[in-house]
Amino acid sequence: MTGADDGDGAVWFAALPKEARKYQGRSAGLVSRALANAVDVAIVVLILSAAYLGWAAVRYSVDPVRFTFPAPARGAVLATALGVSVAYLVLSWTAAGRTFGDQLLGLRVTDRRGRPLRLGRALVRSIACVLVPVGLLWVLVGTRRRSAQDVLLRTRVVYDWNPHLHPVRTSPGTSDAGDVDGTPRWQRQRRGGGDRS
Amino acid sequence: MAAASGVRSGPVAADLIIGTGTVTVTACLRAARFWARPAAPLLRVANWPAPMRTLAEAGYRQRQVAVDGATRLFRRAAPAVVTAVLDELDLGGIVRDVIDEIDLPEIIRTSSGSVAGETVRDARIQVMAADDVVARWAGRVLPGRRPNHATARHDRGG
Repeated sequence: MTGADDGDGAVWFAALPKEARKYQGRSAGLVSRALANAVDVAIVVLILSAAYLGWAAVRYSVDPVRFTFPAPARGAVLATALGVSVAYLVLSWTAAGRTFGDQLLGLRVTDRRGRPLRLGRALVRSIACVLVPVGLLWVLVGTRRRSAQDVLLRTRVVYDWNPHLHPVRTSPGTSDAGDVDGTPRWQRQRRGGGDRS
Repeated sequence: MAAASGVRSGPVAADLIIGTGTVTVTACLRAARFWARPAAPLLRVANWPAPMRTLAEAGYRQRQVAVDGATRLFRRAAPAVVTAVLDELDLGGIVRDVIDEIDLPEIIRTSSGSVAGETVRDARIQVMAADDVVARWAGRVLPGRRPNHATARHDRGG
């Protein structure tokens, strides 16, 4: 609970590095989100590989004499990959607000009020992200770093290194971290107000 | 006068003892070398008188018995002694004290955790900077579009 004054009136927990303070709570860019997605793809591939090996182990234990590695149809593989990806994203977004890739890159997925996604919105967003990953490129086109999925579903991906981090004191209207009432926008969004997106 | 007699300054008494010892040992060695060949037959056990051989045999047997007894006693006593010593020692307490002293969690944190944490932190900062670079590039390339890097004022609206 050590505080550190960053010079603009806001006192932050020392856990957040000074270089990251101006980014905290702001919309994440293309590079961060693409890298997080790449990590998540690797996680899904690992899950699928483990499932395949587990399936092969079960077949071997049932009939070791006539054992051959299973060769599932391409459609089954695609359907399984889609299902695992959607389940992974929905569980991560609804339970923790972030996937493993997001955690690694310090990102968080929220609704427009800064709250964690609910099940329905997370499900639709995950399906949209899996089926149309190129929608991420809309981050470059829009003015608020929102992907096509974010625009359609009114969601955001923000820099959030520490979900338990809150500034405990700010001077009104002094910094780029604050707003008219002196409260950083990302914090006000978490409390459920003040988003103009 | 001392220099004339060949005795140098220093602990003369000690030199006298050392000199006497050296002369004595040298004389003994010469005598032993002189008498070794004539006395060699007497040193052979086979040439010893029968009573002496009997006594030596008896002494050898007693020595064997004594060694065996000492070995048995050691084998019987050693475990009991070690067990008694271990019972007296609070090994768990010693281990706990050592672990408390060396602060193992701190060592693990400093050796691995902080390195990993700093690596992740540096990577995140570089990626955020890359986000801004890409956003500025897109702002220049795409027509009618303002830069949307994270610290731009219009981004504060979310």
